[in-house]
Amino acid sequence: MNYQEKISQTVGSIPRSGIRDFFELVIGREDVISLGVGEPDFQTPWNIREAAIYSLEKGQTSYTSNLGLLSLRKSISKYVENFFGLTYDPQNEVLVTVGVSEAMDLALRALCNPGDEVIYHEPCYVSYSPSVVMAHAVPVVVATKKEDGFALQAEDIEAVITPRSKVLILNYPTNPTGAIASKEELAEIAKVCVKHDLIVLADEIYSELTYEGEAGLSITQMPGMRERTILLHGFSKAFAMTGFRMGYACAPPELIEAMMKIHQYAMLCAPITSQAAAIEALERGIPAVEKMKESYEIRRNYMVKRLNEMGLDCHLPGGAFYVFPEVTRFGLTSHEFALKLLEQEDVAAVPGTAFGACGEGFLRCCYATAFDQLEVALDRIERFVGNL
Amino acid sequence: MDELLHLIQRSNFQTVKTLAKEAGLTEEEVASQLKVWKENGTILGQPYVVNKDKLAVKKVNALIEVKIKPEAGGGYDRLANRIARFDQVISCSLFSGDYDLLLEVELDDNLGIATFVYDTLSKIGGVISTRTHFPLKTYKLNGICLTDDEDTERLPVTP
Ligand SMILES: Cc1ncc(COP(=O)(O)O)c(C=O)c1O
Repeated sequence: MNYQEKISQTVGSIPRSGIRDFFELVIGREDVISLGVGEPDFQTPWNIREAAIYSLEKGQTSYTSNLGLLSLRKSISKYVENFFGLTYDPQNEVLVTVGVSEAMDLALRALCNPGDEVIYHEPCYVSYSPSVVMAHAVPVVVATKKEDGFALQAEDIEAVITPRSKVLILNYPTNPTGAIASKEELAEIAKVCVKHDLIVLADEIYSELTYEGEAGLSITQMPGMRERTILLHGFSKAFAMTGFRMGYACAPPELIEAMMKIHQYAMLCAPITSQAAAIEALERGIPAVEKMKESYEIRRNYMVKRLNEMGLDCHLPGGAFYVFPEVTRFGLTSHEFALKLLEQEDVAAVPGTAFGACGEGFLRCCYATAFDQLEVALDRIERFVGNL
Repeated sequence: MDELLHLIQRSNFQTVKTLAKEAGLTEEEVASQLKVWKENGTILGQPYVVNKDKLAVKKVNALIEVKIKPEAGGGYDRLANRIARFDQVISCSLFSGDYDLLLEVELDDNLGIATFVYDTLSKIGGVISTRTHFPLKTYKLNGICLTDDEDTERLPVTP
């Protein structure tokens, strides 16, 4: 059968992920130290795992409300108020989803008509562009620059605004650059959004892992933004709960209702076991988050220092767990550099181009890796760079 | 410094160099902090955490609850100190509750433990009674789980 004919043109038009390509090169090699991961190296704190086990023991194995357990939505509402200083009604302004991944997909599908334009900043998380395409909207890229610390500039958004511009996706701290935005930068962006009546999807998944400036800064807090922002957040990164697949969206009731319409048919509800774990995370998991954050920060400082010392110039990433060093001075493309590094030294780091064309010249190195491994990886990179 | 204190208690095989890196301090900072802690008695030694089940020559450990009679003036201290000084006693603390002292003792074999209890401990004036517990299996030692999480393989490259 000619399957290509059977597969939808929209899906067919989406290129293979650069991450997948690179994954296939790495898999099967032994002794590789991988700086290519996008998740914590910690296991979920024990009390959170225990809560999931207890929930199963009690026989909580049913569907929940489409929106998610009310008790979880209350915990989320309280947490978001404490952390971001924003209030959302747990009854109708919070939706529990299967990761930020699902929340992002729901938001895009709930908002976009075919041909609407969705603006986002690159280098960025790999799923934004395909998710926009699958919502039948048009991805519009704004490149960010190293000299701005990879923070999006308001005037660059202005430059791509058209009558079809509808949504802006923001992600700070940013995967893959670790960029954070200042209050001033966010305020300027907010003005553009109000002026052009954009809806913002604020992907706050790394927000707890902010090492410079204020944690909990969000575009949602800027004047006129709460009514036009869908705040997307989750448990994967800060609570080291990637496998639980828990996320949520906070937004005005009309937007939550629209997202819920899709969620109830496509997903029904997020898994109850994970919801039980998420309640424990929010109620008693914050000290563990603080400890993990401390450990990431120490590793960040170490990695940035070593990379800069060996001539892999990088800005100080203000958040997340990635460093984004520049490799252009070696006369290799990101891909060539990453490939050689893998082949010669068995260190995997993802070429910047996997996160957008403007990632050319950079590598994403994740420091959520055991300290001794990190040390060996950096020694190997140093040797590699010395031989170039 | 919190991180340093955590590291020196929980992770083994640490040199000043590795401690400095992992705690995000300079080697000088680590060395001078360790010196302060040694001098003021915060840190008392650096024993390795040994999983005794793995030793070729097995020793036998036991916990012994001891009831003692407090003395006028000194309370429990004098007697507790006397008991603590035996080489066989690894740790000795005064507890609230059903007994007064809890000792951890280590000897070559069960007979050694029995002899220590009957011939030594119970003969000390002021010791009212003892109760000995033998551990069957150890699950966690000095904050280190002996049956730790399996190394669940993270995928080497993820978004
Ligand atoms: C920026 C960003 N958004 C969203 C996600 C997806 O997170 P979740 O596990 O909540 O679906 C990731 C995961 O890597 C991410 O880096």
